[in-house]
Amino acid sequence: MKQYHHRGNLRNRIILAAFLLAAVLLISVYYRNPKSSFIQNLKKATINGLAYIQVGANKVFSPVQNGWIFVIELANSKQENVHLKKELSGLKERLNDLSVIEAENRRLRGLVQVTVKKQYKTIMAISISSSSNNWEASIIIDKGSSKGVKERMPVISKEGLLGQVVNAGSFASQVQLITDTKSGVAAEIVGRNVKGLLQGTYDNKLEMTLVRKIRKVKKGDRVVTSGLGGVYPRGLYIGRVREAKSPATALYKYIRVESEVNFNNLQEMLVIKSPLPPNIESLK
Amino acid sequence: MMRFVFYFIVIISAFILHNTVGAFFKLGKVVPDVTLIALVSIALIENQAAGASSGFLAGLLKDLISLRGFGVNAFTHTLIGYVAGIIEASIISNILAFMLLVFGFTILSNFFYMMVAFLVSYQIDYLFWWYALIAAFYNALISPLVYLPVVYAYNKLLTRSSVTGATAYAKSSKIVGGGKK
Repeated sequence: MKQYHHRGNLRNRIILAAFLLAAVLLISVYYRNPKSSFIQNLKKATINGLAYIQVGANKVFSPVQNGWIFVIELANSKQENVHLKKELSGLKERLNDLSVIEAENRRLRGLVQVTVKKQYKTIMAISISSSSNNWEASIIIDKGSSKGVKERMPVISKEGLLGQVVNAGSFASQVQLITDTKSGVAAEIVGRNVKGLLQGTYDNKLEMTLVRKIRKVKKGDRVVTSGLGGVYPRGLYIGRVREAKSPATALYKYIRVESEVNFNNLQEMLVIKSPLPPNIESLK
Repeated sequence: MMRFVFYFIVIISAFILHNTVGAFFKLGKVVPDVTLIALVSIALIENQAAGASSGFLAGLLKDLISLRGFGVNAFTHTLIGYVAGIIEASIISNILAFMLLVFGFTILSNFFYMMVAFLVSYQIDYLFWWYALIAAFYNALISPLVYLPVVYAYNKLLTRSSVTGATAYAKSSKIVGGGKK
């Protein structure tokens, strides 16, 4: 019996070693060739599959989500607010349909204005799912390569820059948001000739790095894309400087940027097809 | 063979739930990790081998929609499944103990993730642990909603099919304080 137990332990360890080895091999293969078509095709197929299911889930669970959001908001709001909401609920019901249409109109009008102003060729998309990984900031949109969406295309909303397409499946695509910690956006501060790199943080905020301490930056300054880096065209609005300081121990300035985008509730957006800055890799 | 099909179905279903329905129940930016809870459930009911193989599958699925490399989650989840499989299910006397275990394994999962992330040069700051703690609490809170259906399905489908299944049935019956007689 004891011998059997030992054999079982050995078997378990061999299985563990085999799976760990397989995982290490996968990591190694991926880092040697991140654009491996096999892995990319698998990722795209998964995104497409999940998008199909998500569309159905959205229909079923949207009311539940609204309820959940309400519960969370309730915990943070004052009791007075709840009473007022109850009084207004009758009126809200009557106005609900109208306000939904009005809000949608406003969003779409905003998107159209962005398009006209910048003369971009765009594809309109809707967010159907957000990242399930707590350490990543991404969304899945309902447009894929069949509608012309490609990897590295920037994604914007009327409030500002959202991110870039990282995986374009045939029916759906994955967008890495600028709040992701591994996202890097070449940015500049308007009117100050200050350029830097905008990165996301774990609390979904934005920080601008690589700005020298001698540069003058003030709260409220506008931050836009600089066009460097080969992904985002120059001049896309990102947000405003919320905080700028020069810590004694740091090499660079600490600049906190606030976006007007509500990254927790993304809806309609535009994928910019063209004109895009030249791709650095293609220039090589 | 039947058991492996069962793990496969449970992990795939949990992954789909995690990535579709889970997004509707975000607490700030934290999504309940249904896949991890299902993995811990299988590993506890069965053994290290089942835990490691289910962990590999769960991690691989997570890697497929991850922005960060490929294989990192497969590595960390294989370890989690194996460690969870070492724990004797009979030790878990009630659902509260299981919730505590899920809390611990979420922290451990993040620790493994941080270690691998460090090796492949991802940036980690103090906020990582703050969100890891919130995720651990949230996962623990919802863990019975995943664990009890998994145990129920296990009892229904597998306990009569094999000797191993019967043993696990006895274990899992202890866990949920009863079960099918």
